[in-house]
Amino acid sequence: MKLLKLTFQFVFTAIVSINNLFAQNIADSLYLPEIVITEKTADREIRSTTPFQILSNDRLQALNALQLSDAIKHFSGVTVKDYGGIGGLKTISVRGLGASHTGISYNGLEVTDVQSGQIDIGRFSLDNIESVTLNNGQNDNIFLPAKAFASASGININSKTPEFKNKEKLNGSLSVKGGSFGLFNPAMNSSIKFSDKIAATFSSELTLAKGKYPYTLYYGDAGNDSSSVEHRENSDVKNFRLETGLFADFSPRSKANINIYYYQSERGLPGATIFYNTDSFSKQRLWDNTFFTQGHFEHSHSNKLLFQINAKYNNGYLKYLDPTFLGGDGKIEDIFTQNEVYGSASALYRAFENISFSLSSDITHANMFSNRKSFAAPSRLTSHSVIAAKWVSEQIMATSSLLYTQTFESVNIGDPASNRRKLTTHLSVSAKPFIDNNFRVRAFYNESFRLPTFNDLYYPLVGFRDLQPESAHQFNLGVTYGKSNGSITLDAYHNRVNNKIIAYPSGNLHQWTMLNMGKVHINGIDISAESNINITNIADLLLGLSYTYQDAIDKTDRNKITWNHQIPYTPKHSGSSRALINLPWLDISYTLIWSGQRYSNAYNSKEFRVNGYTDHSISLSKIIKAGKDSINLSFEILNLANNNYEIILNYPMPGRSYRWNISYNF
Amino acid sequence: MKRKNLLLTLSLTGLIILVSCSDNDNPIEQKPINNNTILILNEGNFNQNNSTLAKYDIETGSIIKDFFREVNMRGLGDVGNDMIKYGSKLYIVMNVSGTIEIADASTGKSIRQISMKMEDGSSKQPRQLIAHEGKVYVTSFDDTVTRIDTVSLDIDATVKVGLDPDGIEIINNKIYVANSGGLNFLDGYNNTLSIIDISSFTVEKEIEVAVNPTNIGKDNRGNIYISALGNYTDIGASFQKITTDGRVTTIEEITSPGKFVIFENKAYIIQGSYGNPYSVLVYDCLTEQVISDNFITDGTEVGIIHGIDVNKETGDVIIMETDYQTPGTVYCFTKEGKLKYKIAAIGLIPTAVAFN
Repeated sequence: MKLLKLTFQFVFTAIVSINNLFAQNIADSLYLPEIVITEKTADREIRSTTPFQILSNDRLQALNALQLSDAIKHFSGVTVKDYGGIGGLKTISVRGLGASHTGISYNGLEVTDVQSGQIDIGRFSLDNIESVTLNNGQNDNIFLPAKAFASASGININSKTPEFKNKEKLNGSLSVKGGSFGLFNPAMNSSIKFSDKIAATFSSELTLAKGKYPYTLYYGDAGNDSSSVEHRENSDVKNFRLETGLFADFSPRSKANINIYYYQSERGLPGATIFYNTDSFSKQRLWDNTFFTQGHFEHSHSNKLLFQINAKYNNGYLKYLDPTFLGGDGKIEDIFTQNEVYGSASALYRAFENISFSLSSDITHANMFSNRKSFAAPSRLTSHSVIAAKWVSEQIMATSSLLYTQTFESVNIGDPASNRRKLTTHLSVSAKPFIDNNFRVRAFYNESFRLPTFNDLYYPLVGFRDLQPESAHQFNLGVTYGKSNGSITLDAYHNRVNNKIIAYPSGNLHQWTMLNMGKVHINGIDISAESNINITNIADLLLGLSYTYQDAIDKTDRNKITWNHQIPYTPKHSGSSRALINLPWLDISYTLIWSGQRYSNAYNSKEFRVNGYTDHSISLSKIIKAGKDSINLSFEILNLANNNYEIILNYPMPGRSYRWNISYNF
Repeated sequence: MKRKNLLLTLSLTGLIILVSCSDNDNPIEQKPINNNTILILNEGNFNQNNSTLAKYDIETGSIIKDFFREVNMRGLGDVGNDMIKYGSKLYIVMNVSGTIEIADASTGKSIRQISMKMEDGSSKQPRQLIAHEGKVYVTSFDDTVTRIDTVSLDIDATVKVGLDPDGIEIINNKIYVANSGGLNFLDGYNNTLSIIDISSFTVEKEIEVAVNPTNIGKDNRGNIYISALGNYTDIGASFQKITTDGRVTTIEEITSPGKFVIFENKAYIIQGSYGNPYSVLVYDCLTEQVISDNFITDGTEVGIIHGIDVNKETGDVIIMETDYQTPGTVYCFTKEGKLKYKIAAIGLIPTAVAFN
């Protein structure tokens, strides 16, 4: 406690003294930093003390993206591991830290998977999404549940909230998308206003796809090696999503909302493309059901003191079936269920004109069951507590936080893993040295860790109960510049991953165990830029660009052949660009995602090289207005150049394909 | 989830031994061996299609890491579990691809690719093979032994054996198959050997041995030896001898055996586990005594040993080292356990060798 106080004092003093160097006027809009301020999204990106990227609804529309994962590929610093097709696993690693360091939250509360620690973001469509944000280190908003301070970086998905014009009581949209490889995707969204204080949203969506796309299988990497044209088998998907939200503004001081989310998925697992045996995985299937409900209540006691309470219940069901397994029963049928109960209380105190403090405390209880014989059936109680401070003035913004995490592990069968306690810190500052110039310098330090997952700890024969958390340290230094017609951000960073949890052969090929063996150093640069150009008085051009450099090297053991080699599936160079032309009669959008070469192995020799790729897409869309209603038509050509590329070795991505969309907005 | 499962399946299935002896009374003349080339089969990682056949010239030190692909303009495929040289040909077992590649041993040119698939198109998961009197016998995890005629290069018969047969050996016109139950890990593996009469190609009987028999070999007095790997939890590994009259005895001095090879009545047995350094134990089959706990006498340090074989012409012992994740190293030692040469980072999981 004493340490905590001292750190706090130190941070506070440091911030105040820095600030005294500048005489400043505090803009009103900045005075209440924790209230959602309607601002131009680009403003937030350049003002943020930590790299912060937003894709808001209008930008998402122009990205030729069906799934969230397609959109996230446009953020700088991000590597999406995509196993291809709508049903293929998709995970996000930010700045070389690995997917389990990326926190993913939906409407402010974290989506978790205690089993694998990785969220398959393929499950999120963009149908009812208002915005997606990515922050490295922490968010500048300190009035958040404590868990939001725990990840090395955070993706926040915000679904649409009800908005009504004038006397409107009901609005929404009906849409249907279709396209290559049997895609059929009808969706419905609506908002209903019950009274001035109460409104609700409903959203529902079905995604069907056969996914039988062609690809070329190459039997070698030399130019004249043989190849054959194959079709992806067992790649079908049947996803259904149903969501509802209830929003209540009790008074100008109090508001609440409740969300209910249900997702059901059945899909084939097409597996890797195996030479001479492309049917090899043609029967494996996965069923994945998720239900959660979450509630949020926020109250302003006064202008100085605000409270919020959040709660969530999550249930996950996963069934994996391999009916071709050659073992005893002739099949593998694994069922895993997870439950999570979560509660959080937070307070924000605006102590002085420039400074506010927040205090937040969370409790999470998660457990997991399986049909597997003698499965440990583990559960984990985690408490997160955070104290944070934020300074805002015209020229300086700074945040600092101290997070305390404690876990309590238990099991039904066998020995539980060790309990863990950890204290982690964050400090970030941005300064605007010239009053009249929207140029900023920013820096942050962030310490975080990811807990061993239930698979890491308890997977039969593989799990290891004494695993330490895997820690990540991030240092960032960047500059941002914004004008009315564009913005640019440039950040350089150094990250360190210690105690990296890796699978290690403990005896022979039969015996693997999870160990805290790895060490990775990452040096990188992220650049993102956006510009809005008026070509003529009727045509607008919006250009966006992102570039990522990642030197992510293995520092585990000087004597190993992989020392100083780039970690697998992490390109040194990657990026994206997008252009949107708004014409009065048509919108034309072009997007490009590209990546340099990568290695499939920790040992970077030529035979493990995975080629780089480019993926160009183009779309045409038109809005037809009919009174207050409108019809939106669009047609997309994806992977225009028909590049037969792989993000993960032997998991080909679809080639050129088409998609159309009709939506009626009322 | 799926990947985890695959990892587990892989970890519980992926072991082979190196039975590269062809019978002495083999009618096919072995071409004279110059002993200046060593061919190395690298298993590759599961689902990566990166199994390779490497060629190393012992005199010049020149290496062709991906010899098979360079010659045939196509890769071997997924998970190369075993390789033998019989006559002038190599027979290579591709477990996940479900093929047997038959290639000319000197040119590397593929002569025939035999498909080892089930009726539903999935791989039979071939594991190990042995040659005898013009036939090659292959164990597969679909509980069969397949017979390939080495003249027609076609499959000419299949026989059903016990659960997940792995190691295979031939003695006195009988085929001994180790029914590991390697895929039956949730239900305690298996503990039998099937004995097949070679002329009728039918199973004559099953005998009971220790849990998870995986590797098999023979001495020249008619005895069969197995290493059984146990269940990795409460039942440990053991080394057993089966005499001509079918009596099974456990050799107690050998406590953590893995793969082994027997040459001139000496069994070279890999032993080791996490936390304990790996070594090669030498057991004399005639005197029934452990000769050495550590075959390597010159202090050469070797990591995890995955494979072992002997050059029948020179008596050199080949030791294959791997971490299962990055390219491994092949070491050649003299009979006395002194390092002759090593080939570093030759391929992913070196697993079998042949000499030219």
